[in-house]
Amino acid sequence: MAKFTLPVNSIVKKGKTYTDLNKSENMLTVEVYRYNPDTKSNPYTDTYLLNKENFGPMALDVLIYIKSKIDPTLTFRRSCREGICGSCSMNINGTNNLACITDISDEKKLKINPLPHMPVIKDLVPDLNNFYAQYKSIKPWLINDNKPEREHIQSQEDRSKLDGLVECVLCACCSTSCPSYWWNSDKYLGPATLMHAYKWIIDSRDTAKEERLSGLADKFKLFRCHTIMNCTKTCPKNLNPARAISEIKKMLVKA
Amino acid sequence: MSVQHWKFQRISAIALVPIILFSLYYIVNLGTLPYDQLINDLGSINGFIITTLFMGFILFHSSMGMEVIIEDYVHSENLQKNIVSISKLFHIVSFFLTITILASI
Repeated sequence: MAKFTLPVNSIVKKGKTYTDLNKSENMLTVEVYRYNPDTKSNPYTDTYLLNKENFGPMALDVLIYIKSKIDPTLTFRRSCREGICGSCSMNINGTNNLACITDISDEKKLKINPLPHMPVIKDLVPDLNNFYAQYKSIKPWLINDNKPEREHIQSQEDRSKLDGLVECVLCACCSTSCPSYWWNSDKYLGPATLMHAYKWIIDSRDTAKEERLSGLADKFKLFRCHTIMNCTKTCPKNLNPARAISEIKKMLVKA
Repeated sequence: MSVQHWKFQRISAIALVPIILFSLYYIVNLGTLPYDQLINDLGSINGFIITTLFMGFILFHSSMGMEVIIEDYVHSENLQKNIVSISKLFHIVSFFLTITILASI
């Protein structure tokens, strides 16, 4: 059955509070979810009262400041710090986003949690193994038995059909914002994977359209999407996974 | 099968729009109708057809919707199948009860 309450060992407790020594009028209260599997204790929330003049304008700057100046044990993923790698996806003030492109200059309070409803490895690092396995299941590569001497040629018109799809960085913000994915993440592929599947289906260079479509014609893999549209609302790259899923459904009905 | 399920859910939802609008109009004006006319309306062939269509589409749409909700929340396969079967049985019985009651007017 779906679970409606947290298990006892998942209840988030209150942690420590740290305050910057050089206080100013421009302070930021940051609550960060902490969990260390080695201590076998419950997760907790640490609170940091920080002077905004000490770091840059993005949420990732805050986390890097905390890690380098206050608590080196704080764990999170980050790499490009410009919204391209998708590593620093997390839940910031209730919305999934990439920390590196979340402007916090007007914020007075930040609540930072790992991506919702995912197993947590440590602190803000979720376990994305299932997410990547689902991505792999749609065969995210070009299937075309013709082997041209050089590249597969694509017209500008056909290439433009992929705009709004190829920009996805697989940060998992959309999938982990989807209630349907929370309930059935073992069977439902989720918006990110389905949007990539749609990209391959409509790619003029790919010849496995029917095979890809029939692989998705499943009441759990695809049809768990109930058009809630959290995916589109939360996407840090302003993409529209809900539309891609609807297009796949329409293709299946017409097939 | 999953594609058909999704398609029929949409078709029944669209079909319900005019039927519900008409039924709402009728229900809103119920208070102004004399009792005899109401019984005559429901007992007439047109009343029978409209009410049967209304209940048929509603129960059909509801049955498919309940199936999806049960699949969402109940993860044990056996329990899921059993609850879906009970739900379908409930909807079928409700439909035949509707027809029986209408026919008896």
